[in-house]
Amino acid sequence: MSEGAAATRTRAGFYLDSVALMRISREVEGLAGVSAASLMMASPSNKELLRDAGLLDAASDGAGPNDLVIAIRAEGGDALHAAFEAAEAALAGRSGGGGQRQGWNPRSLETALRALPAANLAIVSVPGEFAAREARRALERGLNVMLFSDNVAIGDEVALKALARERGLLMMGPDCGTAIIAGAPIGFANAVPRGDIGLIAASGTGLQEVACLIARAGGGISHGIGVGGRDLGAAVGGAMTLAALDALDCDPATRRIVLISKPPDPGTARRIAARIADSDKRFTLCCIGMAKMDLPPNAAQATTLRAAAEDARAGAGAPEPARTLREALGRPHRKGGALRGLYSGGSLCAEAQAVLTDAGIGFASNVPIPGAGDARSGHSLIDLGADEYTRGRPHPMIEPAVRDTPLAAALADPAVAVVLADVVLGHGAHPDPAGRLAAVLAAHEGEAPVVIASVCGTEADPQIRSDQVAALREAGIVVAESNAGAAETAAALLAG
Amino acid sequence: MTAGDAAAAVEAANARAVERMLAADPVLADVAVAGEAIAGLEGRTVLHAGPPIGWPDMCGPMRGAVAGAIVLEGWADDLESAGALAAAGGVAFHPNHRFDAVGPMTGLTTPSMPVMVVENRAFGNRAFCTLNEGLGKVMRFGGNDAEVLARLRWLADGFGPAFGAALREAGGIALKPLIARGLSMGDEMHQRNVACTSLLLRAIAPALARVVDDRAALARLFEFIGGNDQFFLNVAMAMGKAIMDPVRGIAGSSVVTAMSRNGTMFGIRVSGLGDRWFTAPVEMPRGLYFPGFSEADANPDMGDSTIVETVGLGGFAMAAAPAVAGFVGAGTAADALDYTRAMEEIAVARNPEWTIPALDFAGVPTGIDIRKVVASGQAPTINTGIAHREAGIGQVGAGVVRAPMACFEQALQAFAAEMGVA
Amino acid sequence: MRDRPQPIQDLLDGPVAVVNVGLARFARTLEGQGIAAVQVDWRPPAGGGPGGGGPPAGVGRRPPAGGDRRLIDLLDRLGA
Repeated sequence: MSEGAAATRTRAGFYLDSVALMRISREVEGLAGVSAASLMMASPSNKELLRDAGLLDAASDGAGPNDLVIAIRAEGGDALHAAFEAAEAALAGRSGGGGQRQGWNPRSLETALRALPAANLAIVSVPGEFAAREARRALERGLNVMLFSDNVAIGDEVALKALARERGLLMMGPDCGTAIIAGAPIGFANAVPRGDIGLIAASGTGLQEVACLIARAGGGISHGIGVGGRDLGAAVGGAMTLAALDALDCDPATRRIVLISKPPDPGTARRIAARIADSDKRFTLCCIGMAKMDLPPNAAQATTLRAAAEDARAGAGAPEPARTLREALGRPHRKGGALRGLYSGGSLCAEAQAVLTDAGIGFASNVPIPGAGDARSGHSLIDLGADEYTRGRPHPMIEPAVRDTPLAAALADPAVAVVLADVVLGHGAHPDPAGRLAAVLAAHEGEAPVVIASVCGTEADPQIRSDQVAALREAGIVVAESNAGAAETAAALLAG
Repeated sequence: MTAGDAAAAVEAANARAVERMLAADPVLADVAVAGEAIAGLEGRTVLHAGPPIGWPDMCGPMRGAVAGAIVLEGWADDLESAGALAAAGGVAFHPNHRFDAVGPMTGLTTPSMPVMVVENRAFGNRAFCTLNEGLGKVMRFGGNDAEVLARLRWLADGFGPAFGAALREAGGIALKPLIARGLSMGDEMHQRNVACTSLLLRAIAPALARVVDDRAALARLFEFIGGNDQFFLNVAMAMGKAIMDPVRGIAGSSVVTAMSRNGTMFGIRVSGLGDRWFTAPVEMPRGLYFPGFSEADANPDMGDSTIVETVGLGGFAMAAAPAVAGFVGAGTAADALDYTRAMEEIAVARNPEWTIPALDFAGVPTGIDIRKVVASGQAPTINTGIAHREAGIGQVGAGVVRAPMACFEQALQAFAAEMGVA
Repeated sequence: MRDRPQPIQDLLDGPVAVVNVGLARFARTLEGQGIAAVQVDWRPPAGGGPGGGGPPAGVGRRPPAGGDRRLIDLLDRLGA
């Protein structure tokens, strides 16, 4: 037999299920200095087990089937005592609630559909190599799909969208992060009132900015349908843009339709134009960086997201108020300095590029719009949400801290005169992106460039737009009414 | 066959497979002598648990049980010469499953042993399982000493004939309703059979009293059944086999018809693939151990008892038996529910008659689909006893183990070939 | 005006009910707005390696080791 002290205690007439006793035994046996612990009802067979293990002593030999024996062997008296205490405590503490735990989640689409038979939309955000498979399974089961994943092969996208058209389903994405369906913000989307303007967008922040500008001007959104950044390219040929157009065209709640995208493939552009000509509704096309398009009479072209929102509100235009520029000009700023744009939204970065290009200002960018780009200018506009920045890191809309380092560098750079930034609110976004921006500014010492920002959001968003604007102003940041307005103000500063 | 056609054919075949499972009418009908009841079990033949295995590959407990069975049959005088006889090829080894039979742990069935007979009266087939010997040192855990053999002789000469006579007198005991009640009383029919054992004893007691004249003998029978919470396990196993055998050989069905292990290899059979075994090395159970024992003493997973999981009980019905969930993990009642929900992911249907109160009377997951197992990465969860890795020591614990995924992956490849889509 | 397919019509008519396969934050956000959503705890199909170990707290979950392409292709052809 092993060395050390062994002893037993008997609890007469105390019954506990053997599984419970085995669990307590294991707990006690895990204590320091305890080499063996066994709690058992003293049935003849159990006593034999205890005897074979060298744990049954004279004191417990007389115990019967209705008695509980606690048998322990430990290094010394202290460890033995502690083990008995622990065993008694465990026996005393067996009663009580099992504790709350997280609910069960199904592992497969099939089981999920059993739990929610009324499901009509699947959001798929699994790693890219499996994303097409899951999206296809959802389409095959009659679900519309919002495919958030990126890195989906173009061939898979074409096949998925063909399947969706065949089944009469929407296949939003891949790389679609934003949609507003029947008043429900899906993914990264803002709380906007329902209204008569339908949106179709290749990109998330483009949809968000237009929806928010319309909402803040008193309008509302019927639906916002995302289609993915490649939908209007030659390979996909606008498959989902056309499906979304069909859907909104016969949607009685939609009176005007805004289409937001990068410049389309020419053949696809013609198909879209022809489809628009077929409709009785009024269309606005905003393809940032696109030269003049050939459009039917019921469609107008907008060069910025703001212009698109204005056109959709029947031309109720609202240019950037003059006080924004006055405020910016009132700040001490360096003449002839450079511009740094640090964006979390890709479309917001593109819109800023369009505004600056229009103002005759060149710049470098990691995501240049067609016809833009001038590396020698010293100005730069960076999309921090682009792939090269988000690999292995969260998107800046989820974690605005990824902007901290480039922002601090820009503030400290004596060659920089103006910093442009966006703050994107809504469901799914960070709870306080403005606070983060303000904190970096507060940490900066000495002279700083003029920082101009805009806040894409609404009062109904979880972050509350007015609170975010106030936090930015408090930090000394010039806040424009729109992203385009912020870029215009920056352009005016650079020119002035 | 196109992929779409294949998928539709599999769905239809699996629906038929589950229909047959649910239509089964298993009745515990009799106790008979194995060599008389089981066609082809003759001469020096030893049936064992799991897929086919020869003496050289057998684990310790299996060898110990084989030696004991040889002595029991009188083919050798002592354990040593019995081992020598087996090693020299003096007995023929076959899986129980080849002879409509199943056995727990080592699962040994030899001609003179009494076997319980379960008739599937909806399909006319019969299945067999030896009698449960009780806890402690028993042959199913490799025990083979004089006490073990003496108990086996009493089962053959005393208990078996009386229990069989009582069953015949009672016209058999329908098992489906008994299982349904057991589920609502906290049994899952693999690690926990206390309710079903009690229900069975209650049902058979009058008939036993009628057929056994000697009061002391009768008392001993009651004592034996009442003193062994796991008595019903062997009944549940024969029932499982009787339910699954008519599901074999449905072309295009990816439903598992048997899961079984011989202590060395785990094997499965699939309806649409006939009687082929798909095997992989068995895994080690995780669980709780009796005093003086630890995982170092444990034999890898063993026995035909996984037939119980194959019909949707055992690990699949864990939600009915929160007490059993204590063997693994945090051991909360909520854990028990999750075990059953996880198994629903790999099942074709739910059994409308075998329901679980704690899951709002949802039925146990029924019909394991190899496609779903591979797709979900979720292997069947099995509740099991744990044998000592040396022969003759017996049960050292109980726990949970998973079927090896490799069995299902191999079967899926063969199934795809069978369906012409590989 | 053209007919729009019924499934899209049903979606736009609402209410939206979502099965979320992947990032759980989407489901949480939807639930926070009172939109019906079921979270699927997704793992790669044919997740790799032997069954390994016993079932831990997560009930027999396997590590999300990448799926086996060959098996996934077979599963696709067999409609799973």
